[in-house]
Amino acid sequence: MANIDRRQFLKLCTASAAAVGLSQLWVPAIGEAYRKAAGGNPPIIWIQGSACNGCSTSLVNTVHPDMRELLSEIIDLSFHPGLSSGAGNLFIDGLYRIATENKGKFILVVEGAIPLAHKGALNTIGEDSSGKAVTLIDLLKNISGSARFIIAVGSCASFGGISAAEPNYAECVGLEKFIEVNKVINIPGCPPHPDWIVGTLAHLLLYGPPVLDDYGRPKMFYGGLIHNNCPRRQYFDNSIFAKNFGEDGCLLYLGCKGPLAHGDCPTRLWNSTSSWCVDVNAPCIGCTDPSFPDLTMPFYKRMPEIKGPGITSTADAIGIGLGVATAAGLGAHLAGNYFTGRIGPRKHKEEEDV
Amino acid sequence: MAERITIHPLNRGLRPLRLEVEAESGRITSARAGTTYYWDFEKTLRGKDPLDAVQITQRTNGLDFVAHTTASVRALEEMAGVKPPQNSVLCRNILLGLDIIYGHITHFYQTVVPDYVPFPPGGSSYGLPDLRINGEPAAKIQKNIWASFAARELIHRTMAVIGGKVPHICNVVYGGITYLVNSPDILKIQAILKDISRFITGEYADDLGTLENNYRDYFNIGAGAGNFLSTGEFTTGGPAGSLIPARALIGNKTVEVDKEMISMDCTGSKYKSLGPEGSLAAELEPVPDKPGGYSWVKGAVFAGTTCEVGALARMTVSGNPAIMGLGETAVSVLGRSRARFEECQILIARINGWLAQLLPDEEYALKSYVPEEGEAVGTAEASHGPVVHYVSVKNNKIHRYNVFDAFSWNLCPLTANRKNGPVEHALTGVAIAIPESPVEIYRVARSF
Repeated sequence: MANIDRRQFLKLCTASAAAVGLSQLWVPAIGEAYRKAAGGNPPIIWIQGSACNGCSTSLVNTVHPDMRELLSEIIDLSFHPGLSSGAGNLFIDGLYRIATENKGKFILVVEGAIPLAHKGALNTIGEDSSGKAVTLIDLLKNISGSARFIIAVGSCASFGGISAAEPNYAECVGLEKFIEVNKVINIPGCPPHPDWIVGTLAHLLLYGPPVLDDYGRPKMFYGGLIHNNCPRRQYFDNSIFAKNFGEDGCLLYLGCKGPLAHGDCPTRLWNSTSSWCVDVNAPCIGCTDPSFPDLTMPFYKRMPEIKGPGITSTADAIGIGLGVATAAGLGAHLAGNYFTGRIGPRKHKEEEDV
Repeated sequence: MAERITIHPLNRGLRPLRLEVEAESGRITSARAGTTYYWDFEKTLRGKDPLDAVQITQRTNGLDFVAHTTASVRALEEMAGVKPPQNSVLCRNILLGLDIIYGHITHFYQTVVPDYVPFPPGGSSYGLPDLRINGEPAAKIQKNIWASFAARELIHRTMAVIGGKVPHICNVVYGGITYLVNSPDILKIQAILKDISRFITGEYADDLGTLENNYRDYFNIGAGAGNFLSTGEFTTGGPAGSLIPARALIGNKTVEVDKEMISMDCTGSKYKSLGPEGSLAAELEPVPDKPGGYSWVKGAVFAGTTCEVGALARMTVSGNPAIMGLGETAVSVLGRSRARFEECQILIARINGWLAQLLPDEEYALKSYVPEEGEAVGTAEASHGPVVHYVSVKNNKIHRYNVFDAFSWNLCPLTANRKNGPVEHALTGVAIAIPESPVEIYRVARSF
């Protein structure tokens, strides 16, 4: 199993959690592949912007590999605000040093949105050795150009997320509105599943960038609509709907945004296959969607535009269209976001099978 | 000669901080501690469905999120005058308890320990002075930093069985919870809890002991003003009351906590209050260059004074014997770590008790509606201290929502009556051996 090829790797990534997850096969097979590459794995610089830092908390929940395997054997996490030593200008200077020494090689991971208001003064991340305050914008302008790959972790970094929820005083944007869109790999979710983060990093290190969908998300994790793989899908098809929490039935009437959101939650499951939102009778809140949260609220009210059974044959196609329809239902100024491009598919699209 | 030391960022904590201290002959004479990023997204809740607040507000904080869900639904339940079913009270207690334990383990191994033992192994901890633990004991602690990540994953795994997924749980809703654990779930949780408990009473206890034995002087560094507050937590609805009382110690006087006595003070923060002044309902306007404003923390005060919150405050107001036994040295850098550990031990035992009290066939969610109009305040204790939510509802929509994160208390910026917050207070008077590498500042600030 020393030589795991890309197709086998993708199979592992997309397998149902009950079978494997990223998981049991990870350590012997992928671990081996990694160790081969280990000599020259590029350093990772992880920075945090406007966010709750729950994405980093989610990363810690990685199981196969666990944090020790991940950090000491697989990736070279050279810089992370929550984990790195250093403080004050040592910290900022150290970050710049790593970026300069690894120009063109390092992977830049951004967690959190970028606040543009007041020239970035709403988020200063530190001071350099000359005593000058460094804003998040300064930092990104300074180092993003020399990164080999750039990953937006979480919905804030990908699309703005809760940080950019209206009225968005801080004028927060996702990374792809700040950096050339095709350079960014988005791993949305509030927070993303640790497998999505680790799996994407793994693909990058072993085979280069994974195939992305229209919103820059790796297809191997975000290819399917939650609704299509939902264990309660049968209820939807038979028009059996739960009206109160805890009742059997599809959760559409309780606000489920599964018909809008992409991700493999229903098969991957969360926290070492313990559960996921729908398993505890709670509706999907659409946290991986570019429209989250402005257009996926109200979370606990039915999306009025879903007509019910009969539209299911093109469920994936209605994902985006449905978002626009919902936007129209909620208010023209929000729908405008889709059309003015705050949220919307990328211009450039790669076509390749997964 | 006076000198000024600025540390920005102070990382590895709940949030990165900016510290600015003035020192005279190697001793800190004044300190300012604040955050440097704007974070007030609960503004988005205006005009939204009140039920949405539970999901939006838990995104305030990627570590203390369970407290935010709980405070959020408690505010609405108080407004409606409803009591959620006992099963949901117990499940919320279990989740809160686990989240507090998670916060404590994270704080100890991720925030505190690397200032005493270099991490990752072989790392120089950026040339920190005063590293007294070496050889085998240091290696053991380094190994346990890795183990702490695994313990944290286990805690989230148990929380997910109850709450769906973690971080950011989905089972807590207005009126109760969406799912009641069944017997296989409970067996799974109990089994994992044993592993977590073993880590706490074994490795965590040992490592804290190693720190205490080698750094006894840190029981005399980083004292506070002696004001403590807990908004109370872990009621089981019965006559026994709460495990942690809603109580404050101001000076040496015990005060029972009334939420009315909590107010907002943004004198030293970059928000301008548009009034009502001091009220939790105040509308806030961000002013990045506000004169005298040096932090984005919304200051929280109780009875007009700043209060230390968190495990040490909870253990103090509940009269924990181990903490009482430390006397005055409890209020110190290592006293705070000891209080966190004691709380973990208490909670892990209680969580098992709460699991046993669940009634599988009884209800866990009310069929109830949020009132069309009203206002209320909800609180919940997080590992770092109480979170406070103010909500007002008009015409079935949220009119105003204000969130105090836990650090609104310990990081309270300078108040209108020129009071310092607990972190600033604890830093004042601390002696610094090497101004270029002020490890004493790191250790004091990271003890909160």
